[in-house]
Amino acid sequence: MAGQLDPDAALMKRVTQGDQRAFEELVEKYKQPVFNLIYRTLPDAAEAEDLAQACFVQVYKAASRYRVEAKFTTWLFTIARNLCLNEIRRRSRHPADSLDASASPDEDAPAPQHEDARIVGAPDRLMRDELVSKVSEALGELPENQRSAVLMFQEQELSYEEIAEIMGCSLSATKSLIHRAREALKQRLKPYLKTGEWKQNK
Amino acid sequence: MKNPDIEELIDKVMAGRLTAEEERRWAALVLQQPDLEENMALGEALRNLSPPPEVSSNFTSRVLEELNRPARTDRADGWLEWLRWPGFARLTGAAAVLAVGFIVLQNQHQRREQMDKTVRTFAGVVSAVAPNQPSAQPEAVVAVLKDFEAIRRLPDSAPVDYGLLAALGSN
Repeated sequence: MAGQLDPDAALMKRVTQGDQRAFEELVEKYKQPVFNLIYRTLPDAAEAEDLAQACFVQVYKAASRYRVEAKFTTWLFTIARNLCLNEIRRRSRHPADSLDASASPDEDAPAPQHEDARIVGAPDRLMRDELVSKVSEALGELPENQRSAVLMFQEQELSYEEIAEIMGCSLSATKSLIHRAREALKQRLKPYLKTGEWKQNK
Repeated sequence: MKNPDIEELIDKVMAGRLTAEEERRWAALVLQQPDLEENMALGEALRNLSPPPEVSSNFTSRVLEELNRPARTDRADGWLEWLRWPGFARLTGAAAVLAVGFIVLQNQHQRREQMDKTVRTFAGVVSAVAPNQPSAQPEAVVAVLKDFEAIRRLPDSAPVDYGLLAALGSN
């Protein structure tokens, strides 16, 4: 029966039996996606990493509550998102702690990976950097639930159903969130989207 | 934009996962509704976001270390631990009820003592004004009580001047 299990579910089954090697495999596999998800909500690399670490610790401790028929990533991202929301709530209660949050979202990020300057000229690169920063800015201005939903769809490539489960809302509410996020982004980025720069720089 | 086919196509455009056939359909659709082109541009823009930084190379070992760390038993945690005891809230509540009860009883006791003192004083006044038959001389008692306000304002420590009262009563 175990052979028919989804590989992640099989690993989780081993984790529930106390197999730390299986857990290590899961951490290795999902550390970056979990970090990315948290980082897009709380754009501070050190804090995002601490939360990602807390997320995996929670996964291990709550392993017995995992149902093998559920998709592991949905469960994992639900825990990660709840930790993010708790952190946001904590920061709203103690605003002094969130001074770092006002820092630029990409401050700690490595420099964007640009194409070779011989292929893409300097003016194009500048335009591209500006667009990247405008998109990040527009995303940052979205309400948390819209931003999370649209990024889970775009970056994590999750289905509407999975996003709905992670966010704890209905399928139609999830579709509506993503639709509203896209419309808001299109509205804010209209002048940049019209230029067609993205296509030219592809 | 309620057509589910178009919605599905937009999703694929946003995700950048169009087949050749879907690309043809999309191109035809954009010719009819040029505004849809923005979806493709937005999808591209989102896909070109700066990638988040890489997690530290020692991330996994830190997670495992955290798991294997023995439960913290330092003194600071120890003395705070009892605050989390489920019976703590009930005990605190019971103590608060007892304290409130004690204060109320104490207050009642003080009021009763005050009342006793007042009655004794009043009885002294009445017996001084009408030593033999107070009920036979109500007007004398009333005359004394007319000065009640002035008497009330006398300091508590001042002893009752029964001689003065007797003199007033005899007038």
